[in-house]
Amino acid sequence: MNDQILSEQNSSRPPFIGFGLGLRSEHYTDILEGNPPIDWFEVVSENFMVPGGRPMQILDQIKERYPVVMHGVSMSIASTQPLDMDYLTDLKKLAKHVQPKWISDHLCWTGVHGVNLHDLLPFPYTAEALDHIVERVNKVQDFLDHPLALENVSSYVSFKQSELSEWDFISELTKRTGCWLLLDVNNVFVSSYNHEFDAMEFINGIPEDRVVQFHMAGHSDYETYIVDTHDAPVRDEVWDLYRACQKRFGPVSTIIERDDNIPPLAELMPELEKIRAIGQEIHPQLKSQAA
Amino acid sequence: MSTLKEIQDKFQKSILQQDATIIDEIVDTSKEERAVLLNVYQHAYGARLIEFLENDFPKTFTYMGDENFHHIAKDYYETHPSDNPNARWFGRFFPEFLTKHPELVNNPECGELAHLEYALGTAFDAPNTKPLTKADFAQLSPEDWPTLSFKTHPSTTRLSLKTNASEIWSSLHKEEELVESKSKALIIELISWRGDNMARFRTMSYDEAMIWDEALKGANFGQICEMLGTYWPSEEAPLKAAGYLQAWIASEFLIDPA
Repeated sequence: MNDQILSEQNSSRPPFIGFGLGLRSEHYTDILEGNPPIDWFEVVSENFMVPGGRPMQILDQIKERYPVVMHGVSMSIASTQPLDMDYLTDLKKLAKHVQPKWISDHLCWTGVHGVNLHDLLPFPYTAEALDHIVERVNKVQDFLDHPLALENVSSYVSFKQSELSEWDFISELTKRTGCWLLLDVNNVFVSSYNHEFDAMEFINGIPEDRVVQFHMAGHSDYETYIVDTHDAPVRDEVWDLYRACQKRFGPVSTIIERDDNIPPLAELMPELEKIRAIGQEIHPQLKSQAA
Repeated sequence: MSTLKEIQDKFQKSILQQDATIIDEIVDTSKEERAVLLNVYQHAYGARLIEFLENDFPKTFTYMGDENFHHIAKDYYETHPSDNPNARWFGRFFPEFLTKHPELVNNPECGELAHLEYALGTAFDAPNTKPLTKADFAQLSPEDWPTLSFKTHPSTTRLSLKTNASEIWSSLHKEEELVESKSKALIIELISWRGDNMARFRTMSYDEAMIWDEALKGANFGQICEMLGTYWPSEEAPLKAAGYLQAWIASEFLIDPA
């Protein structure tokens, strides 16, 4: 990436766009017929990286009415197999059409040797991994000509070889690439429980000026570990972390990300109003802007 | 000390083979053993891939039932790991896999039902290629017609079914009492496509199916008329051909061959 683009990315943090939802097909009709008071939508990029037809028609109608952010699951930025240029080409094409506020994916890998495991897989936090991922993030940002926001994933295993904490690894990555961060607050909680660290230490270890988005979601508790199922309402402990995150990084655009067991839109609206109310309580200027 | 590449190779092997190759690289927590934590990924792998197939082949899933479908789906993902970043394409070999699966040799309707569902999925998100309209054909001069060739819209798929899979699909779709599977004495010719933004299918008569298939292979309008002469008196064949062509244009089956 040339220095000018990197410096522009560093200096032009994407704007705060409010409180939204992950776009799910179950809600298409309610959204298009009801125009609900949702500030913006996050769309799963791969759902629209198809040849044509109805998916893109829906997205075109949504993007006419609401700001949209593209969120991918398959970039596999931490993989040791070469970057999938066909995938990136399709992603760039979609971004050109959608004109998202930003593009995000996950700080993870999804497979090697041409296999895709369709999971967000962990890796050791080592200097070697950092160098490898820095190089790939720079290449991707250069290719997309668009700032990339990377999301912290929930993880269930830790590696003996890890030399850095997850938050130190992420901090270094932002410094060396200028990338943005999508902080999944639930994932911070899940990983802190599973790997026995203090979630506030994670949050306080992340640079204040790099976070452009929060995810809020639910999880499943198996007592000795927690799984990030994204299939239930947000838990109380995660609401507490959300307050802390809005204080440290805010105001930050936030969505409720429900991936499974998706309720009717009307049932998600109270959660959406709660993320808005907390955001406005911590940042009163948002209330006057909304008014 | 393992490299990142070695760790990813071992991790992937532990998921695909459901073994402990990666176990020495990961750690226990004070609350849980590492093998249990690794199993979160191992379990999620198969569960997720089966869910993709359930979503892409919902009627095949309902028809086969949980246990039978999951058993065969597991055979599928073990022999066909996903090779595409988009889960949309994971099931593309599944219909043929069902057709050839030794345990389904007496249930050919399962594979045909899956073929039909995959065709409808293709119709749903096929490219938005502009279809030819009546006006495009109105511009042709009479001498253009005999050599007129055809190209079909990418949303169309032709199927020839040997069972009543399409009736099974319809009864599941209408949530009516499930019709019994049976092999048909005569083949059922179908075409699926996208019309008014909906994935649809309809039957084709044998002569219509024949000329469609031949048009796809490159037969021109004149040759199609000749072929229809095997079904109809030669003076009626051009009228029949024109009638079918009109229906194809109305359903937006055709695109510019250029």
